[in-house]
This record gives sequence, C-alpha cells and structure tokens, in this order.
Amino acid sequence: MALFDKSDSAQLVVLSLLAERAGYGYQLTKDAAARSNGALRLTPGVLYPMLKALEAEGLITSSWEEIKAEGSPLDETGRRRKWYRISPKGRKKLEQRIAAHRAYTALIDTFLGARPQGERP
Amino acid sequence: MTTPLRLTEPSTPPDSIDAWLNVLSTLMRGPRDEIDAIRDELASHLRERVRDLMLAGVPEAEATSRAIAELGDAASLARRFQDAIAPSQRRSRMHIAVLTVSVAAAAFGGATLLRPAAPSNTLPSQPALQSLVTSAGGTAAICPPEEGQQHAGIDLAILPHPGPLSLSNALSPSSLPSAVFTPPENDALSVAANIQTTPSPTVGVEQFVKLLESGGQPVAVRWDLLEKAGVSPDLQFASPGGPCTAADLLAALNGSLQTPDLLGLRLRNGTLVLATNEYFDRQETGLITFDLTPVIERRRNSSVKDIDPAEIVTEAKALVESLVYPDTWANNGGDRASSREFGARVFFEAPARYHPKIRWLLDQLLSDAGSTTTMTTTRELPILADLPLLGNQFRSQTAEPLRETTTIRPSPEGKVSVRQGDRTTIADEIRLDPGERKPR
Repeated sequence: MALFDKSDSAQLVVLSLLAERAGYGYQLTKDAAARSNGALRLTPGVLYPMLKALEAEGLITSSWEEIKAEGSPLDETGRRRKWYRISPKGRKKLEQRIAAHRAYTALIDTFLGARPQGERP
Repeated sequence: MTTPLRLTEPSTPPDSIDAWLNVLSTLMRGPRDEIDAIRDELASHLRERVRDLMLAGVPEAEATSRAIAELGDAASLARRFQDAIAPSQRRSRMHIAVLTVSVAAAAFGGATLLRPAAPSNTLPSQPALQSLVTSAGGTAAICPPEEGQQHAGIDLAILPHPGPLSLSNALSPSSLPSAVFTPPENDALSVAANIQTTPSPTVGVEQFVKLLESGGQPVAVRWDLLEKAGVSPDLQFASPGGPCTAADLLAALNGSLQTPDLLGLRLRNGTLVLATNEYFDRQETGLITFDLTPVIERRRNSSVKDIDPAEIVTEAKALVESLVYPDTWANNGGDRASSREFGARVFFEAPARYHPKIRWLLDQLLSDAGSTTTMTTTRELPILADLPLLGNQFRSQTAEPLRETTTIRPSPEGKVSVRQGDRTTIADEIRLDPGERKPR
C-alpha cells in the first residue's frame, strides 16, 4: 500500500469523500483505501490535523456522537465520535480544486498523448 | 450450532493508548477543551483501529502498538495539530523549509540558489510553475490572481521531494543543480551493503535480522525499543525486489513504517546493533560550533541596508532547524537537538548524524566565494539514553521565522516573486534543493 500524505491531494480526497456523505476520521481512512483498492492510504497522523485545519477554514463542520458499548449501563458515558460534513464554502472550494486538478492533468495529457502507439512510458 | 461473532471493542482503552494520549495532551498547547476534543477523537480512532486489527487476528497488545505507531511520533502530531489550529501556521514545516532556502539564499546573496537573470522570453507560466512543483514531488494549489495581475500565483505546498529541480530545469532540461548533499555512510551501513540477498517479495523483520547475522558479524537487536516503536519480529514489509543488500532492506523496512527513518544500524565493538535512530541519537549527541563571521561579512557587503549581525546568525540557525531533521529541534517542539547563538558564533547540540548536513548547509552560504565556514570545536556531550519525551515542557518560546503561507508569482522579465507574509523577494530562479530524503 503506497503511503499517501501529500497534504493538498489528501485535502482533495477528503473533501470529495465528505461531499458524498458525512463521515468520521477512521471511516474516511477506510473509505479512501477501499475506493482505491488499497492503493491510497490517508495516514491518521496527517488526516486528523488536516480535518482540524479544514474545520478552522470553515470548509467542513463537525458534530459529536456518543457511542456506548453493547450492554453498558444507561448512565455510563460512552466514547465520542466526531462526524464531519462539508460546508457550502467547502463545496465551492472543492469545485475550484477539481477544476484546477483537471486543468493540470489535461495539460500533462497533451504531452503524454503524443507517444507513438505501443511505446512504453 | 455456531456462536455468531460479536463485534466488540476493548471495554476500556489499553493503558498504552491512555499513556500515549497523555503524552500527546502534554505536548499540545491551546484551550483545554480543544485539546480534550482532539484526545477524544484520537481515542475513538485508536479503539476502532485496535478492534479491527483484533478481528483480523492480531493480538491485542500488538494491535494497540500498531494503531499507535500509525499515528506516528506524538511530538510531530502535536505540532501538526498546533499548525492546524493556528491559521497563520497552517502550512507544513517542509513547505516553509524549502522556501526558507530560497528566501534565505536570496537574502544572503547566495548564487547557490539564485542565478543570473533568465532570458526575458522565459516568463514562467502558471502551469510551468505548478508542474515544476509537482514534478519535484510537491503539490501546488492555485491562488486567484491578484487585482490587476495577469497571472495567478501558486500557493506553494511542497513536500519532501526526490531531488533538486529548478525553474530552468522545467524550461531547459540541461541545467544542473549546483550542490547536492550526499549523506556519509556509517560503518554499519557499509557492512550491511556488503550482505547480498535475493529476498522474497515480502520479508519479516526477524528474517532481516537473520540476514544481518549471515554477514558473519555478531548482531544485537534492541527488540524492546523496536517493539515499543511498533516493530515486532513478525512484522512483514515489501522488499525492493530482485537482488539487493541488507542496507537496501533496511531502507525498505524504514520506508514501510509510519515514522520516517525510524530504525538505524551501528557497529559497536564489532557487533552490528539494530535499534531505533532515536536511541542512537540520544547516545551520540555532540556539540558543534560554527563561526559565521565570513557569512555575516559577505551578507553585509552585499546588502544596501545595514543588517544586524545577530539577525543573520538567527536566520542561519533557522535555516538549519528547518532542513536538518526539522521535527527534532527544541525550537520546533522536538527534544533531540537544540541551538544557541553567541555573537557571530552558533552552537548546535545535536546527534552526530546531523553534523555533516549542518556543515554542508552552512558551507552553501559561502560556496560560491570558494570559502567555507570554520568548524572550530567539537566536544562530545553524551547524554543519558532513553530519556522520556518531555521536549515541549522545555521548549523555547522563540518565535519561528518564515512560517507563513508562501506565494510564488511570475513577475515581469522572467523573474519570480516569492512572497512570504509581508516580505517579497524577487528571484531569477527557484530551485528546490533536496530536503530530508529517505533512503530507498
């Protein structure tokens, strides 16, 4: 599994995943790995500070859910899970980033497309 | 009848998770409720990760170690959170490190990084700048153009990259870097480089140790330290493929781990010792000092305004701390290296493996003048090994310079404007010199 911690690309991936549905940190790491057949790994040491930064920038919002272990007493405090959702500002930012990314790959494709058929890169 | 498997979590977090979270909390600065929220979120992550690993058949103790190791070094993580909380410090240290070289070199008038004016027809376009950064292994986000400006700038986000590149590399493939740092090889790595093997696609750590033993040298492994860092004897890693050496396998093992450059090898009294680099670093810390008088003179001669020599020494010190194992310096929240200045002299107390790189960096400030800085005194100051992680409690409160978002924009006549905060430098060329590079 390739290490994936290039922060700007990671932001693009996280915003894209959150644009589809709300998610929490651990779920995002699993979704990214599953979507890429394990080729992409959002390392937690990079992911959580990045989520903090995205939240500080107002690109995502968060809320807490309390999780209780099965069979635990009603008055016992469970652990807390932090859910993230993309904000309208985040959606706008994501659209800009996608456009920039596509423009860049299109530019590179203009060079790669000229290779004679059968020639290996 | 079979009993259905129940998805259960450990009812209480294992002690080591709590201990690790306590260390992280201690290292973080900021409002208590914010730190507690980060702690709760990471505790939740760790418990889910441990549960998933246990469901995959990993014993609880190993699952816990692995989950913690995946989060990396507590001091580095605390710093990343700190950067995330403080808006002006949101870019990673490596981003700034690279630009620090450019800006510092421009300030020092160093021809190492900035070359004579590029031909006027080479006005760098936004895609050219962006592809330069990308091809150097970095990532770049596009900023909207400033009012009245034709070109958009690039909000640089540069991560560790495979080698030096310059803007002229993007435009003229023939240009070559003027200086590249090559780390010296220690005796133990030379021994390991002579042990040949053709490994299977995946190798276990224990298997790697057996390979080291096959070289004929006695081998000692600090399993206690390795296991604490999440490296168990049965941990598997991908080999480089094809015939390789034990040194290549060590690089592959380090490359597979979350913490960069985690493990090291030393030759001690004829025995090959495999342990964590942190362990070796604490044993091998030494004091070196540099007289920067020639750098100060050169800088002052090349500048039209009178510059305070102390400012030049501080800049040189910041350059070193942002490029040589940045996370480990006291000023950056680490606890393995520190620096002090006294007049034109700067003192570094750092592990021996840092010394060649520090010297190389400072030499670059004068390299085009055919002169070198003088390393006048080296005094070994061994300190106790295995000190607890207390770095931040004694962290200097010195403000960190050059830790702001950096914007690069093409400017007329083929030049590039590098803006950091309210400071702008016009450069003829930007080159990304090699930062910290993991052996592969």
